[in-house]
Amino acid sequence: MSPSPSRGGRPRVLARIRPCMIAALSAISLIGAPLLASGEAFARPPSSAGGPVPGSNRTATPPGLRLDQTPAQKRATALKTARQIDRRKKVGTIRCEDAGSLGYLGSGAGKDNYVVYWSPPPPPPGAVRYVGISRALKQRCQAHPSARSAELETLNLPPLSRQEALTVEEALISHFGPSSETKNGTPPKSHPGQLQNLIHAISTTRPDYCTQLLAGQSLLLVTGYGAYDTAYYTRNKTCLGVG
Amino acid sequence: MVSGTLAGIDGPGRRTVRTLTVRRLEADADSGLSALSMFPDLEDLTLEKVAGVDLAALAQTHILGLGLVEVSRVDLGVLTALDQLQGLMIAQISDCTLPPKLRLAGSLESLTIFNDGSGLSGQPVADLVERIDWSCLGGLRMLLLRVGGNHDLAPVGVDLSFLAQLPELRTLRIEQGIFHDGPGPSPLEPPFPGLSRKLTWVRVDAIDPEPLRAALEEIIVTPAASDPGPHGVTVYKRYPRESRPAGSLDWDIRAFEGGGWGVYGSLYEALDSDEETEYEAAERAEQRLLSADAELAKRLDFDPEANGTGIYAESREDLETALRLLGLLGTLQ
Repeated sequence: MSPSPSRGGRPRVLARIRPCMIAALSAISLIGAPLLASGEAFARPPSSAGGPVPGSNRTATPPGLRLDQTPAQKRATALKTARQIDRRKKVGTIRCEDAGSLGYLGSGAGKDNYVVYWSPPPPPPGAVRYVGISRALKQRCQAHPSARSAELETLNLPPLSRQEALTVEEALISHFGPSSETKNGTPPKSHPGQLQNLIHAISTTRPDYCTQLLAGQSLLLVTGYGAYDTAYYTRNKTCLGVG
Repeated sequence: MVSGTLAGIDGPGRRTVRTLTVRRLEADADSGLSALSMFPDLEDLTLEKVAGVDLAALAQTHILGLGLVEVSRVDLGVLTALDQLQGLMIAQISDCTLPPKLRLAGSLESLTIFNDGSGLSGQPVADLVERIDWSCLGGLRMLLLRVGGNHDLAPVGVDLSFLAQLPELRTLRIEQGIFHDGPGPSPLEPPFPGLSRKLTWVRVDAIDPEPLRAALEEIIVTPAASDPGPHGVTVYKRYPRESRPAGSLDWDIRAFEGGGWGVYGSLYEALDSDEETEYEAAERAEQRLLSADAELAKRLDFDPEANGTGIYAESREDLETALRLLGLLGTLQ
């Protein structure tokens, strides 16, 4: 019984499961009960943070936040950092037809030039069906279908780094929910998320997921979007800030 | 989560397994899904990226929720045997076999069906709507039907008169890519013939949204205080299909005003790898390009978000080369 080959010749890690492997599998998502309560996740030492957030070329943990802090310390640190970010001049609520006005943020990677957007914006909150981030909103508007671009609007946040924008994007996705995902704690396959987004911005299986989520939620809170700072779609992962 | 095959699993051991996701189950995998019968506590099962697999073993389970996501070439007739089902999600399906009449469990409260992926069409959604015996689903409280949204799939017409058989509906989301095509009046237009009068959350689309929104507001009810979920009415404006290559907006190279070229699409979906997010997939793509042509990689600018990645360049040729190196050019357009 040899492992099945996968595309590209890469070994398929979970290709063959044996009874002795069940315990290890349970650490992923096999078991119905939440596997990583907030305390457990936070108790991990920084060295187990899981590496950089993919694609960010930044450290995994948002500035000031450490995985070994208590929940209260983490919350305080996240809010302090968010307030510092909030001192930057905000971008305003910009729609696609005015996306060119964001040119002052500059182009290219490595800058605080990201915006977070939703389409359409609330109210009502139940109307939102897409959230995303970009540092080239004008181009992004051209890429999306008309139904999305026509109603797209940025959140009135400060211009963000990629890492900061990523955490806000995840905070919003975990609040509204991908359409293929069920709301935490509800009956199986009921209450699908309201977004056309199909997947999360940050994998809920990452050891530092809760820390990332908290950073994004804190930014939403201090910038006046506290109504969206509670997560309901985290694949039953329990964190601070999960409703 | 289990990937590849269930062979070798002889049950959950001392654990109580209520939720299980099986991904990339191979058609020729030893024993198929038969190992599921050894999970007596299993309530919520999701099958992802499954093709050509015999689903008959599902009938031996007592699951309450089933998700079939990115499923092709399977016989969905087994759904009639799942008599305790409360929630069902069927998404991103193609080439599946349906019985002439699909009688789902009367216990079903939540039903989600949507297709929104590259290379998919809305026809499987229309087929399911046509074959489901809605008279069995009088207790249904949530219905979501969608075609497209992320992808520019052709809208499908279905006879929406079945909604009259769903008096307990609280949530109705027929929000994109589906329009009424039946002999009678649409239940989604005033006076809303047969439409549940217990609705608390409605999302639909229309060419002229405002009159419909106002009319729906008249019939919608305030949810109970114990129901904190979304509520209200949203009527989105219905737009004509894009005049772009059929089937997808992905990887459609376009010139930008003021110079430069760009493409947008889901690398997570297109590369179909084991990454869990678009950011991981974009990073992998960047690394692949760096290995293949470091100078080209320097001239490209990746701008990912959760659902897709924009790639920008000064020249169209650079983008074409990049897409070719990633195996995307000529396959999705």
